[in-house]
Amino acid sequence: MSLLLTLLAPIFATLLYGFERVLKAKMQRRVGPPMLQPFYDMFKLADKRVFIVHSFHAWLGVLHFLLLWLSIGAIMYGVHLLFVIFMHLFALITLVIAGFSVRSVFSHVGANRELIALVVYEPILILIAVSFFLSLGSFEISQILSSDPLIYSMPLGFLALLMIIPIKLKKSPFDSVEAHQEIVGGVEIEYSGLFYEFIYGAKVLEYVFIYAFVFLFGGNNYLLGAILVALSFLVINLVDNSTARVKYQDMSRIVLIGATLLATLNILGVLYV
Amino acid sequence: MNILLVSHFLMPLFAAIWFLFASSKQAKQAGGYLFLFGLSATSLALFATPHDIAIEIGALAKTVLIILDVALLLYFAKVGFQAKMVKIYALALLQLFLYTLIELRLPEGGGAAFVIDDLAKVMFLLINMVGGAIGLFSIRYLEEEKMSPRRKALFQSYLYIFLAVMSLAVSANSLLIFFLCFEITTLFSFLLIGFRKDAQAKHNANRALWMNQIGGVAILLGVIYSIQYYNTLYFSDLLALANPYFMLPFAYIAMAAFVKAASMPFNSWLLGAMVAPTPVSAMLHSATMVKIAPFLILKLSPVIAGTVLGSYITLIGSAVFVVGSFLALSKDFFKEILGLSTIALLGLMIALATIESAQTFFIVTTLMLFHGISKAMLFLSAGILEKEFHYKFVNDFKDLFTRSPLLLTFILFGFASLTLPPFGVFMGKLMAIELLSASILENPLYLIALVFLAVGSTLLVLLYFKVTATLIAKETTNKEKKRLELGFSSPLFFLLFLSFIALFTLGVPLVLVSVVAVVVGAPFIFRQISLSFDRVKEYACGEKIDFVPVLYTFDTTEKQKQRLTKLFIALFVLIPFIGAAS
Amino acid sequence: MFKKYRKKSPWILHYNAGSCNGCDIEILASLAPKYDLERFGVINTGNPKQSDILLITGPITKRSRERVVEIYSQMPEPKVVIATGSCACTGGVFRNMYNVEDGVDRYIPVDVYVTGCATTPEMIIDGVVEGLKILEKKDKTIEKPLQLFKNLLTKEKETNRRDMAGTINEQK
Repeated sequence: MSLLLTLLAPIFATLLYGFERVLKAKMQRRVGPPMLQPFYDMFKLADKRVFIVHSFHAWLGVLHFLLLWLSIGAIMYGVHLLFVIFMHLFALITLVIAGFSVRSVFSHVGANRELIALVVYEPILILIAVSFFLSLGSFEISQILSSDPLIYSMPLGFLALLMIIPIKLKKSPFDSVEAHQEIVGGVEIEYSGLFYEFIYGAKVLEYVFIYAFVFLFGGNNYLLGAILVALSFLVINLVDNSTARVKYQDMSRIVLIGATLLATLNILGVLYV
Repeated sequence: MNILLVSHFLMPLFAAIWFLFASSKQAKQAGGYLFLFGLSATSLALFATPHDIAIEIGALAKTVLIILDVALLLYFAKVGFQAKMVKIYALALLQLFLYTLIELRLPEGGGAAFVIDDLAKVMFLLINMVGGAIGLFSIRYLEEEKMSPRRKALFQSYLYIFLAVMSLAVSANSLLIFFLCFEITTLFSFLLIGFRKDAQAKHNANRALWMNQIGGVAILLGVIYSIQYYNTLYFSDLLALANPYFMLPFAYIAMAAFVKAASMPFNSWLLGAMVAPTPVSAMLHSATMVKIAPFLILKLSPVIAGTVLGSYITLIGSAVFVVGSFLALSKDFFKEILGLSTIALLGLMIALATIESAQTFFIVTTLMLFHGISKAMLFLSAGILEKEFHYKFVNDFKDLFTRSPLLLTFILFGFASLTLPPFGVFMGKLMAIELLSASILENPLYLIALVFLAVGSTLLVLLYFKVTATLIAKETTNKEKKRLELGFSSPLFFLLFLSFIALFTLGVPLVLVSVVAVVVGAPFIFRQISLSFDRVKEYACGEKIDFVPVLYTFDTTEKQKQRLTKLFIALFVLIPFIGAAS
Repeated sequence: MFKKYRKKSPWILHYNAGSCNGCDIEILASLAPKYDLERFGVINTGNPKQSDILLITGPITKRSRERVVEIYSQMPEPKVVIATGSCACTGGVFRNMYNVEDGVDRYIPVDVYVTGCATTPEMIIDGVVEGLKILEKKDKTIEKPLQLFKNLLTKEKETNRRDMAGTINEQK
């Protein structure tokens, strides 16, 4: 089962991304692309001439995808939550190094912003993991998924997580990491063709990663977990459609102070309420 | 057993003498390798011995120690008078006064002067293996230095004496012997920092001297109170007798630890040590000197863990961790970046050492060991960068990728091992998070430490990997490669090997993963794998300018820095009050 | 095998080679919700390395010609160039002026010409659809710029196109 889920994760993620594009279009009263559009993109990319800057850069993109996949596999197998978070950190560092390894302005800007975003959301993930630990006495994901729903005891933690989802998924208002036309996608700029496909894949895998995190709040009530995921999915897209990009300095200030405070209060809440 | 012990303590001294007289290059090199392996062997053999070893000394040795102590303090006073620095001679004379006070009312009853316990054995490993590698490195390093051969020999032997003193310090059971070793490390850091003898070096050496003497004063005060409350001079008795109502001696000794760790109000002495030849920095940051701090706190850990004093120390330590990592973001001098991150990580080790748990000892020693190895590696790389490539600032490193892939691998490995899984320091931090989360249940104050730890460790990730921006950007033009000489690279290989071997304590799979990551990963970075794909230029909006990556920094204003310093001075001064109150 | 998906996800790069912004506004209008080009899978990427269609506006000023060629040579084949607006097609009202180069096709091969000053979103959409037909038929051989082509190094298996686009000074 875990293996199957892991193997299917990229396909599921791509579908989710396709659905999101449709949803976003509907929110803007457009027709929008077909659900399978990301697959079409993937197939098309496979058909292009492949450009690389140098082989190290190209392979790091592949490595990034694989490591991200591995960390999702770790979630599916229900291992230690901190391992998952740090494996994810490792995956992102490979992308950052890839971004730095080419002499490209935008790639460097993007990698730097990726690092700053990392500083912003990594502590929140750790603090949320710790609050799971404090309420259950274990970091194991399998334990979390077999306990009572945690959303009632740690709503603030859920809010903190909600605050960092836009950073992870590169959505407004916290999408300065990718900043579409401003820095042309940041770290992914030097990838094309086949290798861009891996970056594309990694980008959609992030959806699975972060929404799996949301799902954990549902505990053993999988239906509640799914509702939470759907709800946060809707909220994130609504916010994405209705806000403008903030500068990365503001992003780090808002999230680092706001979400860290929320996550800390959440831990206090778990301890005393 | 005795032969082993004697050879362990005498070998560094023998090495010091060897280097004082060895004149040919071969003799020096041979000595370097010989003492590295000799020291490693004895410390490993000691590590393998199952039980604690206690050593007593006779009355004659005690007299010698008194004479040494007095002579040392008088020498400090003399340095102070010569430099016309009130701080130095006032502190030296104050220590002399306190020391006489102690000698006049020495408690009855003896004890073992030295006890080699588990902690000391781990420290031996760190001091001698990493220190030996640095000693080996400095042979080649000194060839490039503009000094007379006699001074070079002197420098080399200072390094080894430093190791001997450190070995003694970590096995001292008598507080007075520990004080003496503490002061001798101060002396040698003073001598080594001022070794280049220019104005800057002298200034920084003097600063290191007076700051470290504050630690000496704190230890002496700790001794006075331990005589008053517990009527003993020995760590073992103190730990056995300790009473949660009389924490004052421990508070003073903890203060000394903060001074040695160059924690915030005192950070300038360690950063000032950069003016010395690089092996000195490597020595101070990795194997010796600053490691006294976590060692000391860990030694007191059974007593102070779980008390108010203990949680207060945890708070300061974790605050140092966050502030140190943050301040490092504003630097672009490579050694300074490394230095501030050392201060930060020492803060973390101190913070963790006072937590009450069966895990504490293992986590802190793991952190110390791996931090020592990685930092030594990074500082030695910094030394090579200075001597071979004449690079000091991160922004100079632009062409390192093409000029010396091997060196770049070592630097990247150093960074990765401090921040990323599956390497040592990272595993330490991971365990630390678990430890802190478990302790929050008992004392919610640790929540602050946990938040600091989470934020600080990601700040360190930012710090190291923003440095890689300038390191790894591959130049497309081909520049001449520079081969690293064996004298430079062999200590680095030894340290790399050491960090793999040390991972065995954390689990075999980790070793495999990290070996594969490095051995397979590193050549992968540099060898162009021929792919049938088009090579294309980087995108720059169609412009044809060459992009040169530079390091960006997050500056703190002078005012903020002053505020932080004031805050930390206040926190530091409060330690004895907290100790007295608890 | 994947050939038929080319027309299902054409990613657009839009470059302004000295246009008055009239056509650019129309291009962006056609990408915006009203005309909703995204329903055909069109994305405005802004990155030549990931795009299939180059929409180029303006009469190519002398300042911009090197950039046009540089960007063109950074687009992976198969690719289609659409000259959008009269200026890009022929130079338009700026034809024969001292500082323009009279149309994109002097420098890079153009597949579709979309006329109009300024052109309209409907015409742009038609042009893109026309371009897609061409895109589907193209193979993956390297397309070279007509001018300012410097060199293409091929050794063993790999092709080095770093220096494909030259500069004006090198030509003299």
